[in-house]
Amino acid sequence: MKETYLNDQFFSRLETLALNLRSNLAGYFGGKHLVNTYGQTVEFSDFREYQLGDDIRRIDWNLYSRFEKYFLKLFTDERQMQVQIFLDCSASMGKDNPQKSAYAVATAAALGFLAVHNMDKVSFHLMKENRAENPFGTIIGKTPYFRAIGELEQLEFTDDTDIESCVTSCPNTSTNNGLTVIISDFFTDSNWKKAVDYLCYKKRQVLLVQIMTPDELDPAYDGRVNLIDSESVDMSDPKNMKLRITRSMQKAYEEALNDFRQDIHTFCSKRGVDFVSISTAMPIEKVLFGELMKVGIMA
Amino acid sequence: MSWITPLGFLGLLGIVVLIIIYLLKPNYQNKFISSTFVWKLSLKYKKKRLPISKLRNILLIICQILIITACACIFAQPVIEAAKQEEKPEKIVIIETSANMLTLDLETGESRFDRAIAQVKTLAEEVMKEDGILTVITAGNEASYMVQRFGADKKEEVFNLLEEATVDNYGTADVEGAMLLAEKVLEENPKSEVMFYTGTEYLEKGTVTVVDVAKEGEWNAAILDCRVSVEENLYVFSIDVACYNQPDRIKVNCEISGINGKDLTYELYQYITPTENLAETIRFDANFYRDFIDEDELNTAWVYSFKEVYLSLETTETDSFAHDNDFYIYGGEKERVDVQYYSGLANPFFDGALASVGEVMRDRWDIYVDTVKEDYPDMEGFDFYLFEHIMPDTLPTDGVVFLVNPSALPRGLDVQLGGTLTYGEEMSLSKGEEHPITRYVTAENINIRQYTQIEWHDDSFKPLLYCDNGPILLVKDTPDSKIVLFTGNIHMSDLAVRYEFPILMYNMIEYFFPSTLTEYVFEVGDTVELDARGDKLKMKDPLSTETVYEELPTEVKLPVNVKGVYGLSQTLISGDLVEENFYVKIPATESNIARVIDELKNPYVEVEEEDNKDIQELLIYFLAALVGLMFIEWWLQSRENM
Repeated sequence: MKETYLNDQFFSRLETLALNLRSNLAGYFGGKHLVNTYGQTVEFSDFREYQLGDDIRRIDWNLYSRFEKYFLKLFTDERQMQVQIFLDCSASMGKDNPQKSAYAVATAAALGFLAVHNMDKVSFHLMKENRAENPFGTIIGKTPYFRAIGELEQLEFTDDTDIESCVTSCPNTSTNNGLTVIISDFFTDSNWKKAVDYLCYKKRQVLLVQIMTPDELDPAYDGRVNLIDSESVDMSDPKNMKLRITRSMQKAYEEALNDFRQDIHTFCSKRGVDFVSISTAMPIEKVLFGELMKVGIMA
Repeated sequence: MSWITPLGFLGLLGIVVLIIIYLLKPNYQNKFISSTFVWKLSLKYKKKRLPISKLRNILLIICQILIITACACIFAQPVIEAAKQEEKPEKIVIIETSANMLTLDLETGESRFDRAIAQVKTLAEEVMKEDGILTVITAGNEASYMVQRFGADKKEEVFNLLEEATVDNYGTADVEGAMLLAEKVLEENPKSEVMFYTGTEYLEKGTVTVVDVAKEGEWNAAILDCRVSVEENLYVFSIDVACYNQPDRIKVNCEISGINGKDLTYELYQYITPTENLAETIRFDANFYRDFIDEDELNTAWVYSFKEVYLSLETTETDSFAHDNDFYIYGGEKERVDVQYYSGLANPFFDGALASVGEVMRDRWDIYVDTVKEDYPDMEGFDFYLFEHIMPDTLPTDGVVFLVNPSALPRGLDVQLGGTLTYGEEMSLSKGEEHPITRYVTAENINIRQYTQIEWHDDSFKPLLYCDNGPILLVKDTPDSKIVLFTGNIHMSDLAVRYEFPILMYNMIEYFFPSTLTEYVFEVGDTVELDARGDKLKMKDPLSTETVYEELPTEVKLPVNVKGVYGLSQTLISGDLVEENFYVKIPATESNIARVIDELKNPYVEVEEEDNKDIQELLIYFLAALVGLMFIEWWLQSRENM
């Protein structure tokens, strides 16, 4: 039986939140995100001297009376963003661990909900092998969103995923108009960093969400084990490995995992990319109201 | 290099066991995980930290195999043979020299001992030829070395000693002592071979090589023992006879001489065919006497004393061991002790006490008491003179004199009397070693109301009893004078009605008239205790060697090692010559020439423990080592998993 976190209670809690995107994004007209450009909203932003061609209706006459110069009153602009959510659909994300896949889907759904709730456009890109499918198209509004979520819950996690190919080959990665979220465990040999670099090149705000199970964080098994990778084809697959797990081996694992996460974190910091590493043992509310707020992606 | 214990290589089986242990270890268990990505990364970390870790398991098993191999090699005891110093062969020969070694081969006249000597000579020849060492021990009455670790350089001396060797022992062999002597040689060279030349068969010989020098056809008819008893006023003789190795009809002669103090001899005999190797008893009793002696004659001459009984055997064929074919019995005559009691105030106390003593000693002495009341006492012809109140002018010199409460002392007695005292508060014995005359006498029990003080006495008198710290009983015991002086008044004392009185009389008789012998038949090797009434005791042994014992009446303890009749003679104080005999026989065990003994006591040789390690012990060690390895393996594994 598939696990699911998606229920009314879950979505009702999310209604109080909003995505906190960078203000230098361009976006589209009609959204709710304040941006650096000046627009037609009622929120005052700045003054500037009148220039030829400006609408004289915006001249602030009060300032003219004081300085005998013409100044225009500027107002902030609100834009609609496009949120792209890349979800790793490889076997490692949930073939043998439904909780992990449910958690990933729930995270994706939460971020998607925040987008549609704030009048943004959202698209779910399901990364399978070396391409990203976008079965639901660009979603605007909650009705298509919930339809898409209903299907996401039925998603099968199989095979492996090449994040780099999936992201770079995505046909509609627009420039400077929104947030791209990659949800994965990043346990892949593919060069996902290139994918991030590609998104940065596209001037998109990027968020990496790494999802891991408690077993992956702290393996509870030891002794002589034949570790069978969920993405392996058969027993002779080189992904599988025979190992005698001792205490020192467990320490090495811990160290390797920490270094791996630190490496992602450093990489992301250098590029102004947000990175969140979460455990499925953590309640999803804590992730949304805690971890994501910490990195400032939510407000 | 060679191996002392090649069985130790069984320990290599431990390697097989070790491999089995490794094979039996739990297999890899399948574990499905989402990704092995981090595990692969961790391998790099692990490798970085402990580059040798991959080899560790292999090193562990290599070490274990090396340990097992090393243990197996240790158990197999590798030795590098150095140039061996050639060991000389050494033999320890023990020759039994007990009486049964005199058993003869009737055809050749050769005894067992002769055969043993001949065989030892041959052995000595062989040993000396190989430049060996020989020790010869004789196991006689006492074991001794004939030669001790003699080499080839003393060959001539060895042969001379063997040539001169004889059996001078009619008793048993001290085999145990001989083995102890052999042990001393074995301490020098534990590889020496011990050879025991004997005619006795041993069922369990141990490590000793027993050489049987007995010969087929040897047999022996023997008088083993004889018991004398008195039945119906007649001496009855019970004789144990036996035939060893061959039953035969034996004629047992019994010649009784000096019957009843007369020159009368009875010659009796009986036939018996004893069961082979079993002792049987025949009796010469009253009924038997009647078969030989006329009834009238017998009625007038019952055998109530005899001087000598000679027992002998006659067989249809001559037996191989003749030393037990005859037997002598002595002690059939009792000696007489004549006592004269003279008193001015004669009382029945002395008669009663002497009668009691005579009754107690009737098996040894006939005590006759002559009481003289008004007549003059005889001064010679008695063994014991007892004077009370009235003393003779001079003392008799041919017997023991007991002076009781003298009114005046005889001449020549170096004692001076004082006044008569009418009270005696405290009686006590002399201090120091108890004198035989006052043995069992409790002085405190005696009350004396009148006694004569002894003011002075010569040193030859020894005080035995004191009254109020003054001597009251003196004794003098010199070769020519035996005197007892008691100055208490029997009539004014309770001594005569106390048991101390007959004890005192008994002790005096016992002291002055000791028995020369307590028994008249001994076995070779026994110790004979001799005593004497005279100042000298002469003894003539069966080899006619005469020995004089002068320190008498000191008890003499004499070991007797020669079979036969021993003669004793002593001159009494009266000048009379007393002659007695006793017989020393071959021990009954030596008559048994077909003797079989269960076990021969072996000399103790310290054996090196390593030589005795058997497979079982090795297996225990290996098992312990394997358990240890398993434990170490388990421990290491559990340590790794911590």
